[in-house]
Amino acid sequence: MSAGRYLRFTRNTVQTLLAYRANVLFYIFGNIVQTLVLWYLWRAIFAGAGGGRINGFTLGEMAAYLLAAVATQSAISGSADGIVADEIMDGNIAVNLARPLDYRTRVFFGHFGECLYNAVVVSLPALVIALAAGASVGSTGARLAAFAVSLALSFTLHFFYKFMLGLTAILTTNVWGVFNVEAVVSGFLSGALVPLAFFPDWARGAMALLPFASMVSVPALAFAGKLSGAELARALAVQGFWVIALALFSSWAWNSLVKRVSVNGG
Amino acid sequence: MPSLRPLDEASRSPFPMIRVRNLGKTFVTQKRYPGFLGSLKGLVTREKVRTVAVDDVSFDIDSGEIVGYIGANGAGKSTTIKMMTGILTPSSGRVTVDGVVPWERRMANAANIGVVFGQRTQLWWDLPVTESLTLLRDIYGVTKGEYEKRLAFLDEVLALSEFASSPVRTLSLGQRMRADLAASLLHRPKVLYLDEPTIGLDLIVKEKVRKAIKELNREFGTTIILTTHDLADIEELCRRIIVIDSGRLVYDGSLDELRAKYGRARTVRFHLAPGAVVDVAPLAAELAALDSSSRTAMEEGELAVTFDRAKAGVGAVVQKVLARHEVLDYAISETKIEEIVKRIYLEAEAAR
Repeated sequence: MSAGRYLRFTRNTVQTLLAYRANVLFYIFGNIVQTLVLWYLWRAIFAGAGGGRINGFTLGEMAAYLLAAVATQSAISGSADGIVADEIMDGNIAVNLARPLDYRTRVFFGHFGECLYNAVVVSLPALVIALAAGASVGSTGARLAAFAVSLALSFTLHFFYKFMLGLTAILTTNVWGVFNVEAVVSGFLSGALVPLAFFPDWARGAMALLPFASMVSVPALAFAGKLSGAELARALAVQGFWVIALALFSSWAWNSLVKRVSVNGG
Repeated sequence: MPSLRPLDEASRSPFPMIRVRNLGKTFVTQKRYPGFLGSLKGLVTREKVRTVAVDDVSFDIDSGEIVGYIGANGAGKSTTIKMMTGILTPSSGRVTVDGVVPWERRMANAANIGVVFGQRTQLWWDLPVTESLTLLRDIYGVTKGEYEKRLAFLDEVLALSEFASSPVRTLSLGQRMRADLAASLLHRPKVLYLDEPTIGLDLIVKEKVRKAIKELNREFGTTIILTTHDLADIEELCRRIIVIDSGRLVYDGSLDELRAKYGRARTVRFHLAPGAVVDVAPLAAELAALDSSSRTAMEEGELAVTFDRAKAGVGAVVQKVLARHEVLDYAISETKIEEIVKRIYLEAEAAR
């Protein structure tokens, strides 16, 4: 069993995404606008507060957090949930179950293709333009290394999480509703919209332990240099815990739910 | 009930390619209620509906056989195929395909089989056909040299080069089916499952697809299981058929046997004078006195009588009809396989 067999799925996904050229341009443009809006918004907020710190963030740290959050979000933007749910609902899962491929591994490589495409094609232009617009981040090697490790953990646990989310299609026909609720909840709890430092104390402790914070907040904070040595170690440990827990749980969910798959028609 | 071939282990090969024993599948679904209020009701009730799709089905299929697996819509054909291919897990019973239990060792089984679902494609929608084929080549680990050789053969039987570089979404149905067949055969499977391979195809393409299937079987001894609604597929390809109705096996035997048993049946179609008021019942009763298994019915504006030639003579039947109705024309036809299968269904229904 070679990874080469599965890598073709990554290549295919990227090829397919690139085939829709109009979409590519809209995504790039949309991402640039969103990133710039967030950057100018924070700059205005800091200027309004007369410079200094807000919830412990300087403007420079906020810029670093913001850009790292944009980069992280695009690097974990694969839609394993959509891939799985679509195949379950339209019955094409049948074709894939009749192939000598491990289903979850195959979905992973397609998901990875989307992440690669979004990170390189969609978010890179936005990051470059935001840097040009004055969002300086001035990073060090140590912060970059911590970011890279944390991002790798985030990427992995996010995949297992999304894969399981997709499997809910076996249980409910209304995945559209489930996905919408999930998008709102995870957007908030992951720190993608607002750093978790801006939430009240009582909520913060619990949020840091949920898998959502491990997805965006931790890598972005690591990049912004907002985690001390001990804090960083603890945050990485929580991420590691979620990688293992979600990997095991998604294996269990797959093995028990695949028996309940029913493919109608044809 | 037609001859249900007993599973006489001695008369069959001790190592059949496919062995199905007491296979059953029951689907459990949430009960749904109609209308908007019904959908609200569905939120609070937990009533389960159990549907038996396949019920205690057993058969063996030897290496190199082409078997027609037929049944009406919803009879359980596709469900059986999906259990044999490892897609669905059965509720009861056991299946081995080349010694492998499909749903337990999904990947090992998948390497042995090819599947074509007439109603869905296994090709990648946005990619050219050749790209899909090389992707499958990599998935099944076929070497490049071997791939070229096999593709040349498939191209010869299926004429793939006409559309090899077109994206799958731009293909006609017939082209897509040929491409799908090629895709399922690249790894030279021991067993090929064809789920309605000729659905929606025109006669010429159907002929091409059938020829390709025959050639494959001859060339490589591929075991083929075919489900279809087109009984011409069966007549041309299969020597053995298995008939399933409401999830149960109702016939398993050779096509010739079936013809010999039911082939004595004749159908006479009477074209009646326009405007004639036809009351079938008294005529049907009269004809039943000649042959109790005869069927009399109006079909497409014509009066059709099907009966056993050995029990009632054609002359006697025609006389009875002429005595009651004004007939403009009539035609006698041999029983088509469709008619035979319909009778098996009806007898199975009556037996229940």
